[in-house]
Amino acid sequence: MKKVLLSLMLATSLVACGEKTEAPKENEKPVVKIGVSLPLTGDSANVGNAVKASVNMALEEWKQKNTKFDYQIIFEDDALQTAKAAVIANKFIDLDKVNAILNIWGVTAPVVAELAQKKNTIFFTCAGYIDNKDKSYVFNNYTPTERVSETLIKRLKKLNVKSVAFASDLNAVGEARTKYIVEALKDSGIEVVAVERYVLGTVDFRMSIAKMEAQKPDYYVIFVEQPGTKNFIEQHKQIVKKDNLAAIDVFHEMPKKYWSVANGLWFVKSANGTSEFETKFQKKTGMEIQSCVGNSYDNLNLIISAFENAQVDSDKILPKNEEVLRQLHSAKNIEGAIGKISIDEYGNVDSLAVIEKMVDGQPVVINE
Amino acid sequence: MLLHLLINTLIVGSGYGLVAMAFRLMYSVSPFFNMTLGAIATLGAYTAYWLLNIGVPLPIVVVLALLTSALFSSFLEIGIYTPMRNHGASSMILMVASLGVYTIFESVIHLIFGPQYQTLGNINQAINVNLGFAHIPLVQFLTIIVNVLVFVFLNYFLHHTFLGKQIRAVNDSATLANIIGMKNNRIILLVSVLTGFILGLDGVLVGYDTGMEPTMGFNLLFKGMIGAIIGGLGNLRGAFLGALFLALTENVGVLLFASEWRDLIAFVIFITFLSLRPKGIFQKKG
Repeated sequence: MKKVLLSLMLATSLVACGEKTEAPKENEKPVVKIGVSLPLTGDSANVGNAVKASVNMALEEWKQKNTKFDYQIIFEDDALQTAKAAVIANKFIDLDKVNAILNIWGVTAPVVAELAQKKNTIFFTCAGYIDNKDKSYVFNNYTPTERVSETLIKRLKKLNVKSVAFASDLNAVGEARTKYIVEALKDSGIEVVAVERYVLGTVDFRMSIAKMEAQKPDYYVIFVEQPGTKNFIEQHKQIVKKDNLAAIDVFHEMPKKYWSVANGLWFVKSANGTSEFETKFQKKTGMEIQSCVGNSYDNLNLIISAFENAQVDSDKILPKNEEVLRQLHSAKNIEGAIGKISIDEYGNVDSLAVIEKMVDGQPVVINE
Repeated sequence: MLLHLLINTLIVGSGYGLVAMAFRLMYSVSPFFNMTLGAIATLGAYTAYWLLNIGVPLPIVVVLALLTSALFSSFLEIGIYTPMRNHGASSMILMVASLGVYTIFESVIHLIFGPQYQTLGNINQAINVNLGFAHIPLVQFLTIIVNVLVFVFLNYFLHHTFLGKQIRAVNDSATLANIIGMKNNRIILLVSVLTGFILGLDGVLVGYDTGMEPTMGFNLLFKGMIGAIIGGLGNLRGAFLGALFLALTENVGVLLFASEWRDLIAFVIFITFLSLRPKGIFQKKG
């Protein structure tokens, strides 16, 4: 018993020592810690790892400059799972004492946004949809659904599409985007003859496609993430036997080896990076451009710029959150990886959607 | 629409059917909910995936995947369940052990192959089979045919061979079979090899049709088990038809309600059968 008590006391004191925040020494700069939670394993690992490389690239560029503060990034793998993302966010905030958190995608972003707002931690994401109107600490840098919807409708009209069947994942982002886009389609005069939703992980869509096909839609629009994307495309070809399938984002988010399955099909996606950025990224990392790569590069730059520009009484202390937030909200017309970016009153970065088509297993921008 | 309903019921139901028959066969000699049956199917799929990636020709891949699954199944029987049974472990203890083994197995597959969704091939590049009223990819046609062939084979095997009769004897009363000198453990081992082959084949077919991930075994087993229970655990015909019935109700559910209700419908049917007709559609006589 004595031994157990002694061990517990020793462990407690060790933890206490570990938690102690040391003041920076004479020549040391204060450290800004940024926690980055990404899907580094799982079906979206290709995207997560590319985003990790872009964040590292941005950090390396800041390290070449004479910055006011030092910057440390802590990467964690959330595997695009909500529960894991919540645990990681709590770890970042409570144990690592990070000054900001970065993540991607709407599956995990809402839970991290709630925690970050509750614990006054700056949070940047790149998510198809997030409700951040009442969350001053939450920022989203992704082409808004309104823009995606406009671009989709324009393209469908150009193809003289009169009716659409819409299929999406059953999650917060899927629901929010489906609701908005279906309404916008109806308002534009395009009839929505069927709306189907799938639990994440669904791989058999045959009956659902047959059910939609019975309504004779001119076109199918899907927002079905992996592992469903590839199967949906194949099963659509099997049942409908036409190439009348388009997507919002998901085609290029499949692992590259499956891209050829979508050959000849087009999709609406968030803003691409500028050609300068994409060339630089590919040259430096040797990786493919993925969704959120440019946005996340910009997100880290926005955070670091805000800390660097924030007013502080002494270079030995970090600026207060309010001051960093003020700097972030004043970010307007900044040259970023996805073009000129500005942060609006709610913390959203606006950008335009683009249309791409899979040609020989590669996404190609359609200029319209 | 009815045509699609029929075809999809046959494809999905055949996938469930192979697992349901394997589950029923294993349950007949070793009556506990053996979770590792899902792991055996997963192993078949991942072995095929690995072999295809290193360039082994498809026919050899299928043979090796089936052999690996059968070997793994017999290893589990010899290394884990037989010793536990010999020490008097109850069905509950065996089930908990199988859950533990399944969890370890799933983690190992996760570590080796990663959690990503994988597929053995692109079904649209494969040959289509003309059924007269519809064209379906070869792999889906094979799933239906294999399911029927396994059903016919097992029926013949269980009713017209000496070993089959021994299996039925152990199923009727393991104690009596033991008293008259039958080596129950040897019969269970042979059944585990046979179920290994069936599950390995199912894993390969599913891997080609809808793809695979480390958790696939649990989903396959669960649907197969529900199919076997709906049909009635007492006979093979019950497992075969129960799986088709489950697929039919799921597809009718998608048709009448919505896709997201698919699993819910399966479980409602399962609970309904458990509470109203626990011995399934084809109740065992006596």
